[in-house]
Order: sequence, then C-alpha cells, then structure tokens
Amino acid sequence: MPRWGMVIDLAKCTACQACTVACQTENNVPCVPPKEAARGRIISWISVLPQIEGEYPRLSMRPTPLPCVHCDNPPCIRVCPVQATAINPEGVVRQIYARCIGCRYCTNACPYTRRMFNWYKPEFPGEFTEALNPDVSVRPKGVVEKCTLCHHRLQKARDEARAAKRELAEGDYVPACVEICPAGAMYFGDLEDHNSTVAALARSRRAFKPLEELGTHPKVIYLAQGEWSGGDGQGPRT
Amino acid sequence: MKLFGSPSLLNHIPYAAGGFVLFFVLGAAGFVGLQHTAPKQPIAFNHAKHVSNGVACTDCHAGVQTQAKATLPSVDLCIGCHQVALTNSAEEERVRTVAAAGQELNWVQLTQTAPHIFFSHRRHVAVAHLPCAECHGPMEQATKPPDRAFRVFSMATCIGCHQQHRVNADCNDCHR
Repeated sequence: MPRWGMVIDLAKCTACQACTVACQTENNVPCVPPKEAARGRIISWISVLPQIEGEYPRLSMRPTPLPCVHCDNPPCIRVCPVQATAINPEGVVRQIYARCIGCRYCTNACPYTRRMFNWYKPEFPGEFTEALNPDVSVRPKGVVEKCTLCHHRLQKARDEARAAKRELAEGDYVPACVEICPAGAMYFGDLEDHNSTVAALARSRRAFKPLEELGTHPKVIYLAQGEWSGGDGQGPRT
Repeated sequence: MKLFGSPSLLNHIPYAAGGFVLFFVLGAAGFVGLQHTAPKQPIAFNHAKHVSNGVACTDCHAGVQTQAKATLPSVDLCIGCHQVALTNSAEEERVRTVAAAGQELNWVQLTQTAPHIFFSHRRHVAVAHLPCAECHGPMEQATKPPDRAFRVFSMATCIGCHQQHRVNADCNDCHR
C-alpha cells in the first residue's frame, strides 16, 4: 500500500504562484471577490506563504508553498461530528462534501489553516464556467473543502496502468501543483517505497516537517537550510 | 366570548369535515397518480428486438467501455442502421422524422446516481467486467421502455457489492 507524500525544496521555490493557479483550475476552486477575500474568505487549497526570517536589517523572505499536509494523525478528523472527513489507507485526508454540515470545527482544528469554508455560492467568471474540470465536483455553499492530492488523477493513472496491464510507476500520478512547478521545487511519490525520489529526499539532512512538534505527522516535507532545517542549524553544508 | 356552543361556529363543522375528507381523497388520488407516472420516452424503444437481432448493449450505449457515462444514443446513431425502413413500425418511422427535422431524441435517463457521485461505467464494465444486468436488470427482455429504473442506488447498494467482491470502498473514489 503506497503512502503518498510530497517534498518541497524551499531553496528552489521562486514564489511564482504557478502551483496555486494550477490547483485552482484543476480542482474547480471558486473565485472569491476581493472584498470578501480581504475578510479571509478566500479559497486556496495551496498558498505560497511569505515566511520572514531574521531581524532588520538582515531580513530574508522564504516563500513557502503550503498545501494540506495530509497528516498521519490529523486533528481535523477527530473534531468532525458527522464523519465528513476521513483518512484513507493511502494516507490521503479527504472531505466528503455531501456529509459536511459546515460547522467549521475542522477549519479551527487544522494547525496549518488548510481547510476552507465555502461562504458563497461558487462563482466562476465568464468563460471559466466552460472550463471546469469534469472529474471534480463544484462544491456547494456551506461545506468545507481542502486539498485532495488530486485524487481523481490517481484514479485515472490507476485505470491507465490497469489497461496497460502494468503496475503504477513513479511519475504516473502527480498532483497538478507538482506537475506545473517550473522551478522543479516540488516532488511527489510514495514515501513507503524506499527507492522513490520523495523517500530519498525525506531522509535528507535538509528535510523537516512543518509544525512537527504537534505530533500530526505530516506527509508534506520541506527541504531547507539553516534554522528550519532538519540539520544542526549551522547553515549550508557542502 | 363563548367559543364552543356558539351557533355561528357550530355551523362551520360540516364544511370543515368535508374539507378534511376532500383533502385526504385528493391526496390519495395524487399519490396513486404519482406512483404510476411512467416517463415519456421519445420512441417506444424495444430492447428485446434489438438484442435478438444481434445488437449489443455497447453498440448504442457507446460510452460504456471508454468513459464514465454510458450515454444514450443520438439520433445519428439510430439512423446509421435505420436509414431505410427495416420494419413497418411507426416508431421506426418516427426516428427518421426526428432526424429529417434535424432534432434530437430527448431520452429520459431512468437509472441515476446522486448528482454528487462520480460513477464510471468504464471502470465497472471494461476493467471489472461486470455484466450490465447486475445494475440494469434484464433489460434485454424489455419489449417497451421500462417505467422505472431496475434499481434505485443508495450508498449501501454500492458498498455492499464492493465489500462482497473485496474491492476498494474508499470514500474518495465516489465522493470528490
């Protein structure tokens, strides 16, 4: 059984936001008017957060793409009163929109703030309505949504592999954000497979997990240097 | 004011009782009427006749093997065989009339899943080799358009079959 995970190399990320746009179009994420977005009601399954490091005048900004980290021990599942969210055997944390009652306990429980509530009827400007992805539903008003690791792509890849009578190979299935990343900063694959690129990168000394101390066991792993990294904080290694 | 026993109110009792009776009679009639409303199909299609002449399900429901939706046949597909009259049937003639008028056959889809469910015919038929009759019943014996779907699908129907055959019953596969 694979355990899907993502590795993001922060040293390579250029903060171009291509991942957020790719995600938005792939998953029919609705547009929120600027006024409402300013109230924090924007929906964005993956955001590039500016992490400011250091103190003035030695400041630096580290752009950090943050999707749902798909915790192995997800706090969002424990608080859901209607079992509208679940983790599957492959480690993907999912939302079942038809069950969601919109109580937003999970959005509060998520330490990564990666769950969004549909405050409005989903709206797509102009020709965007014609360009919706038929493999993904358009969520109704009043439910919580989140990153699915492009699960529909996994299903498609599995079907294609089955039709070709072969096993699912590395690279057959990648989420839209990983596929689009022009800097090649994002890697995706099976963490359980020790020969996979992600598993090798996850073992690297630069690897760290976001908010690991909470015990959520996230499956999105970052590569960085310095204070944040999994190393000794002594800066770049040669 | 004395309500009960006041002559004006007592006079209304027969009307109220009559109203009640009328309400229930009309309600029951409406309910029975609803039970027997068969959808109006554009053509009184005879499945049995087509199957006995060697037409396979997938010849008309062309999407079954390749896509999520099985698809209902377009008038062009019908005309492919019925360009010239094969029988004396008035229904067959109507197909040509519709085609000549440049219209489309507005079939009523009977078997449906909930709108938020992603069901793939391809996955069930081409990959899992499930016979059509498993969900659609003995459609090849139907001589007229069926009144209702053979099965009404609930989540229990899907999960029951998936568990019985020990296949993946992950929430995400249908709810996405």
